[in-house]
Amino acid sequence: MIMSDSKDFDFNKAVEELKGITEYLESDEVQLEEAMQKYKRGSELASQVKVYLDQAENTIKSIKQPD
Amino acid sequence: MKTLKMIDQVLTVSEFNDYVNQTLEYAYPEVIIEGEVSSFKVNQNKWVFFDLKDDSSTISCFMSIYQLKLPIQDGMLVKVHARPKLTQWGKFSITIMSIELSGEGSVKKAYEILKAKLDKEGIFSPDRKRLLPQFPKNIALITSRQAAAFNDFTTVLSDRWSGLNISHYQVQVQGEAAIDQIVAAVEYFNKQPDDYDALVIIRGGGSLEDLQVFQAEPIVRSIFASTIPTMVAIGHEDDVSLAELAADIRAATPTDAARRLVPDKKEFLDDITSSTLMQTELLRKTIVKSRIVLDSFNHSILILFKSLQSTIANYQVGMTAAMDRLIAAHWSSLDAVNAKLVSLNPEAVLQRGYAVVRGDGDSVVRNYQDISIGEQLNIKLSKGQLDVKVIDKYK
Repeated sequence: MIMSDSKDFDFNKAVEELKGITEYLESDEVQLEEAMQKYKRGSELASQVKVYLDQAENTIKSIKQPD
Repeated sequence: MKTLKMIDQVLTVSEFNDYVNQTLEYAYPEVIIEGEVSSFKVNQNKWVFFDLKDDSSTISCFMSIYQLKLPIQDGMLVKVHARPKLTQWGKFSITIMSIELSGEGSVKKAYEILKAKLDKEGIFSPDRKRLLPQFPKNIALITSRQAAAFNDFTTVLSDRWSGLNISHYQVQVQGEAAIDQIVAAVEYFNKQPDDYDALVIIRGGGSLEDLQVFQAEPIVRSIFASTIPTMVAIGHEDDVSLAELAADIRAATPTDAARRLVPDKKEFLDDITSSTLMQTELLRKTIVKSRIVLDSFNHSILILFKSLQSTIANYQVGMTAAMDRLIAAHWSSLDAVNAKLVSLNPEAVLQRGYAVVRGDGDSVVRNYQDISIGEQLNIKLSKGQLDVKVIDKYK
């Protein structure tokens, strides 16, 4: 999956998934085929996270106060 | 002049009071008086009465409880903004519009009273402190844009992290108006608590009196009531404000607040790289482990195959031996049968010297009574035959 819009990217979810992949690979019940799929997904997520942090900007919005 | 005319005029008591009040209002629209509080009391949980005094004089004070935002106690030095008034009962008093603590002693005393009261309610309880999200995205920010705190906070945030949406609610951070504004701001953001990951209230350093706003009970309570997790940073190293104590997270300064709020991008990316390397290493180990498992499987299969081969070979040997035994047994019984057959062969009997006697019709003669004297018989010997005639017979 290639990230098209950084606004749609769920950073927290990606980081959680990445953690989950490392935990799976560390576990004793690793199956080779699944491990390879998860590793591939992990690499994708890592690069998406990097791109997000590189591209996303901080915005400051002023709240219009009620009179 | 009006006052001169009044000498001839008869007034009702109420009219007189009204005139006096008008005069007072004209002469003293607002006065600021400093004095020590005594005989402080609250009536019907609505009206506040106390006396303000100095070494030689005393004046009665009156105010609504809604205007009382500080814990007042006898002996405290306060500064009041007030209007003098003659009441309908003819008593002179001042109506207070706002009150602030005066002098360090009063400030500290008020702080301790309120702190003890709120502490008893569990407002500062560590048990109810919530964690802020590790990677917040939507930040509710309450501060004054004019203050250095605003720039310090946003600059450090931008240096450290990306993709933040900061919603800034402009408030004053000192003075009487600040209290209501900050409470309104906290309530505003909490109307849609799901839209924000953290609510941050910041202010730069200041004197102890400047920071009084953040000791105010309404602010402390609004922070306590916030559904959005809170972080408060009032840049005053020596004293912790009650607002900070009520917050989920307290930061020392606005800069510190930014650091605590978001991780450092560079450190985080280093972690991601380490995590990728770790995943690669774990996958490599899995592959190696799978190979070992596969090799061990192959080895097991080989051993199993060899053992089967040997079992089959053993079976073959066993079967051959069994067959041999079976055949030998057959042969042996066949020999016995053969011997018997051989012994029963008439030819063999003849060879032993016996003969077969046949009469008429080739029938074998077994009884002398079946033969008549003179009858012709055939005798079969082992070698050759004899035709003979019976000359006598007897038992």
